[in-house]
Amino acid sequence: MIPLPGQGAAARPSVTLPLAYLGAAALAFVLAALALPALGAELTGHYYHPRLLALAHVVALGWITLAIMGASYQLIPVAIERPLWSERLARWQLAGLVAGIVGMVSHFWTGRWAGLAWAAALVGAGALCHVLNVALSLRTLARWTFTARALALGLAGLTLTVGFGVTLAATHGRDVFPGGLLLAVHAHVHLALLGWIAPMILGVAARVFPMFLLAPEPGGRGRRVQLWGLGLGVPALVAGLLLGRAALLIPGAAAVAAALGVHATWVVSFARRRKRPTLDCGLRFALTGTAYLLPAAALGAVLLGGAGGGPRVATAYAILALGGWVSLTIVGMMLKIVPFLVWYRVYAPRAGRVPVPMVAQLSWPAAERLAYGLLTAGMLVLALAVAAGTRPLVAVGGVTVATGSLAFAAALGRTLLHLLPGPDRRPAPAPIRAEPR
Amino acid sequence: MTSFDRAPFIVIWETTRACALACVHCRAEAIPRRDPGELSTEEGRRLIDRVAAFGVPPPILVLTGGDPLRRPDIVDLVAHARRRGVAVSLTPSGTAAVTEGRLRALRDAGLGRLAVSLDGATAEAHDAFRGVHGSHRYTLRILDQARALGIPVQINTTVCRETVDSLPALVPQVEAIQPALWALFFLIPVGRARASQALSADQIESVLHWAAALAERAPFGVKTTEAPQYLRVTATRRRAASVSSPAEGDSGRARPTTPSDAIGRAGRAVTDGNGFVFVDHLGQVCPSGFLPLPVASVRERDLVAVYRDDPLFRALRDPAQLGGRCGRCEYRERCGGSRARAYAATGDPLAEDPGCAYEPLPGRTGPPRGRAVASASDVSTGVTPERVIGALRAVLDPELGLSVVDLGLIYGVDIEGGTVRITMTLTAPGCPLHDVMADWVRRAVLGIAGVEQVDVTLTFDPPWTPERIKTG
Repeated sequence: MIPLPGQGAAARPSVTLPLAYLGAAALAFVLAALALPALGAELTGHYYHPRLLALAHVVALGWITLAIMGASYQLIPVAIERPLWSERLARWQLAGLVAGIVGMVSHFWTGRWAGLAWAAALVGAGALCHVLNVALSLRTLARWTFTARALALGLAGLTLTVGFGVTLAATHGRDVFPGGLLLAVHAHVHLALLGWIAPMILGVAARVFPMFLLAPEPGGRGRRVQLWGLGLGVPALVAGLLLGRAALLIPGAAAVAAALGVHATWVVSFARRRKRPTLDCGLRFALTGTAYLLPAAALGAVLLGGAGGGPRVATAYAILALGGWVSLTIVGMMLKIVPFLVWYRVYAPRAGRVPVPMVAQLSWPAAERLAYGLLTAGMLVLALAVAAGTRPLVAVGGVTVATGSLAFAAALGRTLLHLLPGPDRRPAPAPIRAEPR
Repeated sequence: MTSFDRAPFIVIWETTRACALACVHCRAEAIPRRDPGELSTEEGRRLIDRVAAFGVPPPILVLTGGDPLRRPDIVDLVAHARRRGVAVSLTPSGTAAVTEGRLRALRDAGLGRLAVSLDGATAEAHDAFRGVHGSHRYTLRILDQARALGIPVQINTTVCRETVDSLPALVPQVEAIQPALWALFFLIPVGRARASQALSADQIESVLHWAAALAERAPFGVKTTEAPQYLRVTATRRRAASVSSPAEGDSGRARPTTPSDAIGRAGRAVTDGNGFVFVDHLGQVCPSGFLPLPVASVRERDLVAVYRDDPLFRALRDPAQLGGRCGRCEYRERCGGSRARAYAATGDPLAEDPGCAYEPLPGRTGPPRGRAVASASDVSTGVTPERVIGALRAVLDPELGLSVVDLGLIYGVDIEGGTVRITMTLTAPGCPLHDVMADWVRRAVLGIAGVEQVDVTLTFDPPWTPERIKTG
């Protein structure tokens, strides 16, 4: 073969680095889900409760942020066709982030604020290491694609979010925000969701969804609508929330809605025009996650208009957005990425020499299907139950999501067993099952 | 040793003899209900495993009947074959049993091609031949549904006295259907077919020239079954064309395989027992369905061993044992004549093919020399683009489970002696599998007898798009 420029053996992406991040993220997801049945009272009360703050940070930092970082460390070397700027820094950063997240969550859970700022600062340092690492890796990028631009937007959002969060932690108990603490919390949450998480999902989806679904690459003005919608809309929306100014808030929300609307349209187009005949559980998770955008956006509009809004509706909105859209999308992507990474490490060196299983055969389809049913239904039940304030139903939703998270963990665990040395210790490849559309 | 000594190009499994049709020529003498002695699902899976055991690339597996859709486990069998890396084609009967749902399930299980019989230009002619009113309508519906689902289709037409006059009228219909291949089955008097239905040698020769002329302009491939002398006819026509068009002759290349030709073609004639093996519904192994000489049962003996070592199969692959004109013919290595027709006419499967009108040149037993006969394949090594493509079908994208061929990643195959140069792409630049896939491709092609060196060139110009995918 003729190697491509920069594609020698040294360019092979690390497998263990993204797996370490994704493994830590999955653990956080399971812990957060297992906590749900015990938080029925808190979930049906006001969202500004120490334990819900702890839960929110396990989800936003432990689960979502670590998963995005792990996926980035798998995707970026592929996109730039060379290794990450510093894998060593990324490994140290993981240790710092985990320590910081544990510290923050512990403080929130116990309601003791002294020391929260230090834990938040540790998370902030880890996040800045990530920003530095990715920025230096991307600096030689020859062509700034939509995905690369979205990644840059996300890095800016991450920097601002952690800066905002550290400020909140450091100023706790002091009235330093013009609109008050709750409005600042609203702004912080939306900065994280729309400034950091959303650009990453939109950017990665544009690259990965067509690849997995075998659909045509997107084109046209949709890219600009998404980038400008988030680039202009998120600052306006966050400033509007922080200052309590509808004149900023409403146009900002409209711009963000336009960006997310184009993203959803793209995903529908990928699904419709796909050449992949069957949808595996990973793809079904991701597509269902996108479908959750609709109720989340609807509830966001209700809250924006002040029609019927309240603390429980706000919590339900967060569940639909973070638990439905973001989490289901990430679960789906992890069910695609983790088996691929394991296959690449264990079986790629032997492909063509001896029979090797397909990537799909490393997973546990039954567990994935169980996880899909429980998590997709559980998130909806939980959001509805919280909005209605029905504690028994909240418990049902919580148990459903918790069980689903365990099934998800079991599926991942079985895949990871293939990393064990020696073929005798690895599970037998699963049969490939033709799944309905 | 011919290139088919180790493995056949195609394995036909008569999954059942049950069929709702009552075709006047039926080789299988199909019956309304399934035979309790049919190979079970588990036996079928084992048979498929043995098909895969022929090596890389595995032979193409055709699930035929009767009507294979009369088996409730047919989707599972297709899926099992695909898991074993075996490309599968299916030949359902034109009946109401073929529904969109079953076709979708078959496609999702990995069916590579659907072959459907069309034997008349009109519904009346087709239905009369198939013995059931409405079969033509069902056949066209199946073709529409298969195309809508993205399943490559093949049209099979029996060529005999009842159908030969309909062939020209069928051409525009076939063109409209856009199949990957139009297969002309020259009737052999076995089963319900009678000798009086078969064409004479001169008639067959005329049809073969007509078919070769069609193949030169048609957007689909044209192949023959039980008329291997088609290879001689096409070679003769190419040689004549090279004289009138030196530039084309200099290239020495056959027309490229059509993009939709997903199952692939052999580079030489595939005849009974020579590149071809047939397993009947009870597991009996025969050289072909038209040469019903069972030599063993797959319930008792290994298919691979039977094909490679059985005396009848070995004799059928040995051109030195051919009698009459076939034994003297300069094309005997690559054609060999229809052994089934020889057997049906004389009782000797090694006798000359009475359906061939060609009189061999005196004193020559090798292929005529000259550049025009050479094509992209290399005659001296037996390495053909089709064999290379066949080998590449075993190279699967590990995430998608589709072969690099079906994904449209192969941009070109160039053969020069024992050296094969492959130009290919990947679904995305920077794909971390680039070194894995290129090495896998190289090893797969190196496994072909006669290949000494493989050069793989990766290119992203033009970039890959999903439109290049050949199968659903």
